[in-house]
Amino acid sequence: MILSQLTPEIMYSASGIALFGIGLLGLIIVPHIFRKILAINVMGVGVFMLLVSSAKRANLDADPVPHAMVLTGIVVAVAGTALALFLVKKIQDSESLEKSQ
Amino acid sequence: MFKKIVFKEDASNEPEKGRLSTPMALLCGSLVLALCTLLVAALISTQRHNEGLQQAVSSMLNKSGVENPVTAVLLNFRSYDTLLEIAVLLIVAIVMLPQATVSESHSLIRVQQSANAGIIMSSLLRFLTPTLIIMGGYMLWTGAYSPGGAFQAGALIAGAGILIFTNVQYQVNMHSFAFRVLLSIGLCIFILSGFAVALQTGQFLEYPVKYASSIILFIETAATVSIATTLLLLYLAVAGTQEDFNHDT
Amino acid sequence: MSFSFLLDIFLISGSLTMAWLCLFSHDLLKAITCFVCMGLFVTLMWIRLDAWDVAIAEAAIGAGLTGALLLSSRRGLKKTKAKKTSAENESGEQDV
Repeated sequence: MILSQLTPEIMYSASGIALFGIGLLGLIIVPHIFRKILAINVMGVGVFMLLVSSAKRANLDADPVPHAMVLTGIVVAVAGTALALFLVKKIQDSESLEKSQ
Repeated sequence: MFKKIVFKEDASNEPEKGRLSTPMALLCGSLVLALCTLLVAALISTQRHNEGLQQAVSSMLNKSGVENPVTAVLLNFRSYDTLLEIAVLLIVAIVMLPQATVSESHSLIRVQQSANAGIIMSSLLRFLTPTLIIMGGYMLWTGAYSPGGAFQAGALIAGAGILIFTNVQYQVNMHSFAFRVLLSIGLCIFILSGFAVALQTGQFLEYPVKYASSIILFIETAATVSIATTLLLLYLAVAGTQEDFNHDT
Repeated sequence: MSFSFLLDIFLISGSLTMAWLCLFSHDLLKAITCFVCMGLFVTLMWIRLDAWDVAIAEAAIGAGLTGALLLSSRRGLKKTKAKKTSAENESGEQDV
């Protein structure tokens, strides 16, 4: 049966792919700049999920190398998000300055 | 497709402007769905190989100086990654530092006694801030042998900092020399100790086995300070509440 | 149909629903809340996958700090918009 092949790792990997897909769809469809930043974050979470679920072994301890990579990635992702939000703020400030002049 | 990007906040009931038309959105949706199906099919058909790097890590774990395999990978086996990551954080922090002006005061933190903080906020701060900082120190210490480490500790201490500086009573001087030292101390200590151990072992960032645990703790402490300061700076720069340190009163 | 299987299904469907709501709901505040919720669901999933370090980091940084960043940035967005519209009203322009 298909259910017997459905190990948790496969399910979690598939959910990582689904998160990536949802993020990609949102990035393309939704026009708002804030949602685009959120969508990139959702895509990133999907990729992290794929990495973490590939690190899990059936009967052994988890593989620590992908965990370390994801840990690094989370911190870099938050730095990137903050930079994007900062640039949005700067663009808006300059736009409102132009409009008031 | 990416032509129209909206910057304004969307009102809750207003249909969003610039959204793709429905057939176009459906086309994109089906394309993304096809991509995901392909990826899942590839995932299921790929034979998982059950080796991984787990054996390699656990066989070398007793030489790394720590017991937590993730910390060992982060700060010993693949410490280049962490070094470069802290460099990335520093670069982002430099981009987001407020524009350099001549600072009038050299103090790192200013307390405005006149500002009314509110009794709930100040009493919450009184209990929560020390708890968060102690918890951060615990995370840093416990990272050697159980889950935890510099990043988690840095995030907790940054949370404490955000709590303090969203309060109107306290302001941090981002132009001060001390703030810049706090931002860059992690990278400096990391690089300096990398060269220092190279004198002993001949390889950049290859720690001598005898002193590995104390070197790792030393680097992690400096990195925690830098990560916490950087995350605090990211929050304050995005919130934009602290930029007028020099201007008002 | 063991308990752990049901738990996995619950966590996966929860995180996917939150991701969908985060991107396609109309209210921005709701979107940010859903993003934080998705981070917490993902944290629980990573605990199920034995990734304790990553789970702690995601709960503290991915859900907590990113949520705080997004919320404060949204407040700034609102402020500039209010400023802009008041400036437009003063100069008598039409809102485009």
